[in-house]
Amino acid sequence: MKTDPTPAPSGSGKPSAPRLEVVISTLLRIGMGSSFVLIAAGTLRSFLAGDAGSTAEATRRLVSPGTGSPVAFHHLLGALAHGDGSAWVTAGLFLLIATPVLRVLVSALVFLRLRDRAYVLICAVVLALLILSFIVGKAG
Amino acid sequence: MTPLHFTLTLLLFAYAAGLLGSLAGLGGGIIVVPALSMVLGVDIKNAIAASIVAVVATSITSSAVYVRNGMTNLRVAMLLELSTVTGALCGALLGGFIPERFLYLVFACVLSYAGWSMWRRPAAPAAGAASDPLAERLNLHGDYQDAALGRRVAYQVRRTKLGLAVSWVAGVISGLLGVGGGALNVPVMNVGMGMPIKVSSATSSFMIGVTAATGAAIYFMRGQVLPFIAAPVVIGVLFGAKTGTRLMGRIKGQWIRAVFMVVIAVTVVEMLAKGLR
Repeated sequence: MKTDPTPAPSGSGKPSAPRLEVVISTLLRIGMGSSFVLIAAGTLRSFLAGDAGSTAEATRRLVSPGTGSPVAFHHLLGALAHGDGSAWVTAGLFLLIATPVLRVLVSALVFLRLRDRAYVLICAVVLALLILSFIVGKAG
Repeated sequence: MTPLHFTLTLLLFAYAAGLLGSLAGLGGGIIVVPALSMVLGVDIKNAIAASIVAVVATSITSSAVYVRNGMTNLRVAMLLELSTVTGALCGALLGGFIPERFLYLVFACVLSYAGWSMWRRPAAPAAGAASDPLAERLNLHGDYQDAALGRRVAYQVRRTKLGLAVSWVAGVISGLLGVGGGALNVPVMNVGMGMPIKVSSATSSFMIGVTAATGAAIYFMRGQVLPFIAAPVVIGVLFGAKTGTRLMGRIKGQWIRAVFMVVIAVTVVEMLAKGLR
């Protein structure tokens, strides 16, 4: 059925230079694994350290809209180093959201090596839109 | 409710949502949002924000497996992501201005559609559609190893433009409501574009990661992803989905559908009540 000699899109088993499938799959696993560890450890940490508090009032404060103001990144780094549990969670959530973005970036690089111009362009546009959404969200 | 109590309750709800979602073949989002906003009284915008992050997590986890097995059509995914990401950007921005009661109404409509599409028999892929020059030029056709048939199955992709259009709508819904959009992606790839159902599901779940990341990025940077809510939701949904995958073969399809229909019916009524009040 294939009319095109370029590497198959869905793992035909041919030894095409960097197997896009394996690269992407590995990247997704690493991204997911590390963000999961940060989120879980951060949650445990905030309870063990007693940051979360233990009253109904504390719960209301933690879930009231608008309290999760966007963390400035230089503050986040400091809080991470101090072992602030909720900063670990925030970093984990950020890493989780960034993983698909990295996946698009890596795909673009692989398509570049395969000299598949159409898909380099497609990935570049998707990447630009993803970065735009971070900027747009920051702006309000 | 103390914070610890609240976190454990969230974990439990998210686990159930992930389990039911993966059994029903829909993401967890469509159950997480109503559970958080209506049962636990979380503000619906924060519920949507937490849900969309959980959707990113489930998509990454399941697609890592499908991609390695060569089930995903990466080129179709990357192409349609142009649409879903644009749509999600529009949807998430729109969500910032839309009044809450309207969100409930839209959510009730989407949920009804998801229920209806589960109820009717899946339509057969339209065979013999005209060949698609766009699909040829972008080298979209593919093949995959079918475990049930024990051989490689090749397929041709058709109606690429239809796929792009429907994907945009799926993206808007994803960004607006904090769901993945698989309920639209899968049928359009399977029935519309002529891709096999397994390839359609795998490709959809792969695309959803990027689609949901768009909305998640906007909600995150706006400060609407509250760590205290999102953390148990992500963890619970992930484990729920894992259990669901394991149980999949052992539970009868009719039971899953029946439970799901009841959950959807109750939720739609409650959401309409909130939206129309």
